[in-house]
Amino acid sequence: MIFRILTGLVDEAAVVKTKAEHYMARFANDEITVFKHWSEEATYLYLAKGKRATFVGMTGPPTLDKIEEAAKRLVTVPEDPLYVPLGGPQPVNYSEPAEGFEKIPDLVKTAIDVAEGVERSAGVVHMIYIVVEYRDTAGRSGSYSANRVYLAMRSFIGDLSATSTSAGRKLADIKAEEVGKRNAQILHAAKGLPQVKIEPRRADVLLSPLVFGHLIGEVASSWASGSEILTGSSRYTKDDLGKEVASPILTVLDITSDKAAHGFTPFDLEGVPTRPIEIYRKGIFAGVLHTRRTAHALGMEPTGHALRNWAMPSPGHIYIAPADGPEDAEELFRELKNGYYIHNNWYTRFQNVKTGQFSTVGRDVVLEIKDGKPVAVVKFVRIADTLENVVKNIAVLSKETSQVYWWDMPTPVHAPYAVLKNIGITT
Amino acid sequence: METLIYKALDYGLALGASYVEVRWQRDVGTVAGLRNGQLEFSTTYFSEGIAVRAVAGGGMGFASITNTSLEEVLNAVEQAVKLAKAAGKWRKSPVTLSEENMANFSYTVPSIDLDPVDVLKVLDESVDKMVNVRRLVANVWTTEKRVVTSDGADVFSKIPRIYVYAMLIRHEPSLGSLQRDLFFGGTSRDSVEGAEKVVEEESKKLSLLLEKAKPISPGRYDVVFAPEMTGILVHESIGHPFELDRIYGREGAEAGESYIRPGNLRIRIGSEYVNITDYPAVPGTYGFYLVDDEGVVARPKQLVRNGVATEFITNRQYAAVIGAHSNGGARASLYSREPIPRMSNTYLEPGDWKPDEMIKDTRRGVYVVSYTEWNINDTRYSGRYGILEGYLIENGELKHPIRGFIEVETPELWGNLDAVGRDFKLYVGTCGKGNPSQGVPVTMGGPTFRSRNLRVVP
Repeated sequence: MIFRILTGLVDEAAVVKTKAEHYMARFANDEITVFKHWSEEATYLYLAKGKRATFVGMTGPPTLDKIEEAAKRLVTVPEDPLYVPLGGPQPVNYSEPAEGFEKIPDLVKTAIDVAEGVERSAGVVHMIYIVVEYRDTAGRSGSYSANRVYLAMRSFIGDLSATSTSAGRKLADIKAEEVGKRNAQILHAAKGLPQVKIEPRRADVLLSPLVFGHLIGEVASSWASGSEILTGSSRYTKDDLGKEVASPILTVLDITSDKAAHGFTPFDLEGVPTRPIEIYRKGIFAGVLHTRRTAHALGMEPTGHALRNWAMPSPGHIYIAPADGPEDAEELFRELKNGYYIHNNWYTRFQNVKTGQFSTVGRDVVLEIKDGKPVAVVKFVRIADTLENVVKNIAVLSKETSQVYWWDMPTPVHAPYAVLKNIGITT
Repeated sequence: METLIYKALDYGLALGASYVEVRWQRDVGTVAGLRNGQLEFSTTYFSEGIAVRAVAGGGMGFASITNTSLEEVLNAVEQAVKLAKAAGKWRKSPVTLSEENMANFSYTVPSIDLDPVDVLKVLDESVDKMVNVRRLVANVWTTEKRVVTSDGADVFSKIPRIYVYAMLIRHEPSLGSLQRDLFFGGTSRDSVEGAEKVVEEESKKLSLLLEKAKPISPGRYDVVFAPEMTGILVHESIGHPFELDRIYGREGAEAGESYIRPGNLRIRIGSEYVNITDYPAVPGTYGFYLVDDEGVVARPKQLVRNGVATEFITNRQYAAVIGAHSNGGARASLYSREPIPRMSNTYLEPGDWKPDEMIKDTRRGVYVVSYTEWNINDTRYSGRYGILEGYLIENGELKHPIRGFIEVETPELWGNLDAVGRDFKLYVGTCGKGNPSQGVPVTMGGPTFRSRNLRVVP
């Protein structure tokens, strides 16, 4: 129907129809504050006439007047400097049934009950079932449906807090017991330790998967994006591909195509199938995330990362390869020997995206480690350094990864624990 | 629509809800971006749907839909009531709402007839040619809402808005790199008048600051903050921690809590000169509204008076928790989001000092005009603000530009305040909170002010 309306108005069009069913239970002080369901039915259009292109998003059924209104933009917008004709490989089809939402409160109860000895917990379970259909005037079409779910919980004892999360694709993937146990374990380790403040310094740090995954997610979003490279706001240029730019133990992939990943998406808004993209291979800058337009402009291949919009590529799910470091908390503290364990972070802000100068606030318990043992809780710690130092100063990665995601993370990740040497911290 | 909304209310009550709220919301606009002078994207969007909130069985339920047929709306009502009852089983105390005089009226603000691409072209031409990276985004849109509640509210509003963001980077390997982020916006086309002059001046400053600014020696300084700084400081360290839902832990796992604790609300937060207000009904502002998204008339919220916390930003649910009335602070960013306590236009009230008098009166200090990277811990107690444009003050005179950070705890920042200017300016921002995230339009600002003996580090 839409293509018929557009005949004569445009030369090319792509239509993406989405239907997302969200269920979310939020809780605080051990009780559910609100239980929500929101249903979003939307149509997204790419329209081109000559080299002029425009994007359209509309909720509900597409109507004649909305489509005609949007097509009028093609008369006034300047030519698209990244214009590339529609085409490329067919989108892949994938289908799975929707998960039931009724067991969401059970996950909440399990996580709260298992966190023994904590005073209170707050958190969320968010479950999404999304159905997507793609069709374009170049004859490409495909559809997929997928579930995504995560649980995040923050527990408190006095002014100490700990957050743990579990992310996956189905309710059965969510390890609610582990989330509760981990929070209790961290808080009991911190309880009773003296609370101190520190002056700005450089130090070795042990980062949890939440923190390390967060920072590498920032790197992937801001430095490995084709649009940022084109803009000149990335630290890297196309010429940096193949160069050693990070620690030799750092290998990072975007695994949006992985069916087990929370961010699993079979194809993007341009209908391009996602595929694993190596961003760093043993410290070498190995790949860039692209839309069709950014790939064409840089003379590279599309990667299927027009995930949030048509204009700017973004990672869908990041995998940081583990190495041979320990997994157990006590062994990790011994590995760090002297420094700071940062369990979670938030409010990451850049002074300059190109240089990657940033700071981020330690959100939960931060432990000072001396001779391999926790000796104090450090208040109001920030990491204040550059992303370049983050990727270069990695000394140890644990041998297992956790799949984590929560409200303040830029991208869901599989991430190990990481020890970074000589990192700027402040309060 | 009217019949549909009232049928939905009646149906929710018939299902056993003690409160039902139906909100229809439509956002229509065009957003465009320029990358280094070339079009990056142009997108037209139409977002429309209905949200239903219900209190039933002691719990709160929310459902929203994009298909506004009667059948789907009634299904959404059923969902909201069902989810409320399920949530109620997991509550120690039932959800209640404060009693209010509910609003019944409609208002419309004249539309903004601007094309974002045209706005951006003018601004882009104003950027200093030494700037290497420039990314500009403009969004022009209109929000229509109809909020109807089972206890008597019926409010229609139509408010246009414009928002412009400019990211400018001057990168010179031999000197270093500086980034300036600029924001403009409001509810009339006047909001962006003069923006090109600001863009021109601020972009030119980047080269000057790269060449001249010196790292500051760490230590304690008297700091004079210009209105842009006042804005971010007020927003982060007063506005957010004064949201009553945060104080009571509802945002504990996401946007965070507050240094103000339940049971000890009316604490001293600053010196006697500190008066801070949040007021939505300031005409033309980006944070403007007359009635909140629960149907309560907006009014000035006197957050801090003479240094003491006197009022908190609240919705009806958290007003009931402390036995107070709502002050019209409930906002929802989209049809698919629940109304929660939010800021609007938050500012320090002016005093009687001239800004240059403060500088003349300062022996050893820093004058901070604008900021770069900033952040604050989740209880809003410990903040860090990177200085973009700042100058050393020696014996009442401005000296060379400096670079560094103000690292300050909230009671110290406001407790050491001893001078407030008679100037006044508001700055535009998008405030984030809620899960799923809700970015709402706000302004923040006030006059120049001075706070003594603060920690400044290079």
